[in-house]
Amino acid sequence: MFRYAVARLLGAIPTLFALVTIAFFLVRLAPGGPFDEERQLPPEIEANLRRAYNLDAPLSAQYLRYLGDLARGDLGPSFKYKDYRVAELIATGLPVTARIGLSALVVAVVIGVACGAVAALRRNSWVDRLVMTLAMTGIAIPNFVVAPALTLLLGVYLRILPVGGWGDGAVRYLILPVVALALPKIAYVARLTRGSLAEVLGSPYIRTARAKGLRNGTILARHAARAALLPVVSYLGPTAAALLTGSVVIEQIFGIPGLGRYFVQGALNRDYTLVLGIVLFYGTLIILLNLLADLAYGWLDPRVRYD
Amino acid sequence: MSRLIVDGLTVTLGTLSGPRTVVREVGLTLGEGETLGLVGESGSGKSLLWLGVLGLVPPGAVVTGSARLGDTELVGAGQGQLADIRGRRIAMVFQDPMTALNPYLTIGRQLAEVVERHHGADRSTARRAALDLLDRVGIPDAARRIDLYPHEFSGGMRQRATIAMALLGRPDILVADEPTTALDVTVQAQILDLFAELKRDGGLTQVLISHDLGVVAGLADRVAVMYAGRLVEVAGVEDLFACPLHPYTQGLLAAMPRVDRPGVDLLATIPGQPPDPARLPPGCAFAPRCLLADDGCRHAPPVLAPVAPGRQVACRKVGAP
Repeated sequence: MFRYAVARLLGAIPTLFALVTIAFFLVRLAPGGPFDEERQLPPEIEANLRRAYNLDAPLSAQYLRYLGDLARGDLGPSFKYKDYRVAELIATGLPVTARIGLSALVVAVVIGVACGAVAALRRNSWVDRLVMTLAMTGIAIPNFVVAPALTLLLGVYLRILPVGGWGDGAVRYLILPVVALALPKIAYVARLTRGSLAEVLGSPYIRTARAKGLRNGTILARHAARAALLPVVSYLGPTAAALLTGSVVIEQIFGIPGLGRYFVQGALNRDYTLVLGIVLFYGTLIILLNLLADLAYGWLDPRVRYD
Repeated sequence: MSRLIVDGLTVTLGTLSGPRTVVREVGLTLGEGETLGLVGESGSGKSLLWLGVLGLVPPGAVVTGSARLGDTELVGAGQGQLADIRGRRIAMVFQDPMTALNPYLTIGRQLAEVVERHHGADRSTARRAALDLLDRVGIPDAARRIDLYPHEFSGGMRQRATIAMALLGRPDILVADEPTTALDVTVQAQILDLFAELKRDGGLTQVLISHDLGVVAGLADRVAVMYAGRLVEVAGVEDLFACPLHPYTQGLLAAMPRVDRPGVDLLATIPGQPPDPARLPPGCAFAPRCLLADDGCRHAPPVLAPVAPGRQVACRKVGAP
């Protein structure tokens, strides 16, 4: 298992290399540059800036230099947030994003699994139909619709919750973004859980367990739960990565100073290093969390062994 | 003394195309220590009869009639009461041991939980009981294998483990549903030996469900033949093989491949196909395939009636001998 994990991590290096390369040239394809502003800079100042940030060198030289810095663990300076390194910006954005993302993840798993399990146990009842209808709606409505709608209802009309901002991470400010972020995930997890639990409950080994006279609670907890949750576990890997790197849309809507917002700002400002840094961070996280999900799979299913 | 009396048992499945009666008014009695062979082709209702007795029919299915175990009526009993009986009084072994065992739990865990559930044993006592039984059903090196998972067992060992699992509750009745069908031929013989051994040890009432008359011949005291959800013939094993009375039973016996009779190239077959349970003919379900059938057979279904001591046949063409 340890050797498998090491092999997977080594295998991630070419993937990340390809990611950096593609991203590096893609951001350069966008028209404009980091120092384009409404008020045109005097040419000599712009030339100085370009020289200071090494933007006057040929693209291939810039690319090699970026890779060299990367190899030393340096993501470079931000072009727009002066005096900040990209690593520093990620370090300030990550805790904010992680707090919302992890909360949304926990909410999605707990509520999603519970709803899905109830639907599977009461299959074809009104509870099942209600849960599945809500879940389908939750998946179908994009969060750039859900978030403003929730804000309008709870923030503007009912005035229960703040409409946006971060408030230094006070719980009141967390609720709306977490709910907006979690809703589609709850819906997805619920559908996933219902489907797999229903399938497991219909399997021959559950019939065996019933034929042994085991009680329903034992059958569910000991014989059905593990197999039923496997699809949820594999879904959680990429989902956790997505939530931890921040929802670009949600952070923008609620004005939350997280990674997602830096990413959007970076892209709009042509802050090349910032965009690259976050892309790379996102890529690494996806690879790590997928590996984690696979390892968890092996731990849960005795038939899967990594060696 | 009879252990189980089944009377007028009917199982109707709720399918998408409407209710479908797959077991029709089956009546039979199981005596203490006897081994009953239950024979019929796939879809004849032989498995669903027992799933019906134990309340294990799929959701939407309806079971009517009666199945009395001692003083307890099983049909219509609550799930809690049935759960106390399943595994403890009546245990079941299923056809495919690969899918019948939970792939996520060790063999030992799956065995021990039966003892914990029905005999209130603690974990270590239950484990010891499981180990003893694995030994008894002939799992070599059981002390090591008890902690393995089902996929680490061979097909034969898996079926031995499910039999051990069924025996751990110390049931009065063991129902084995096609216990050798999913196994290699050589392994089949070993598993049948195991059932023969259980029979020799005595006390246990066994029901051996099979589509294979050969499997039943060596083990059963009595044989019940099922066709399209009904019992068509019940007889002592020797009577049945020596002198089958129902035309369907005769056809089944004639269709058995015989290596001891040289010179026969073609296997005998029964013409036609078993009927769709949703569209049974009004009369005898076997009439469309029966060479003896006349208009009377096609109009009213025959009743299972005694023709000799311990012998019942459902056929208008068979009178008392």
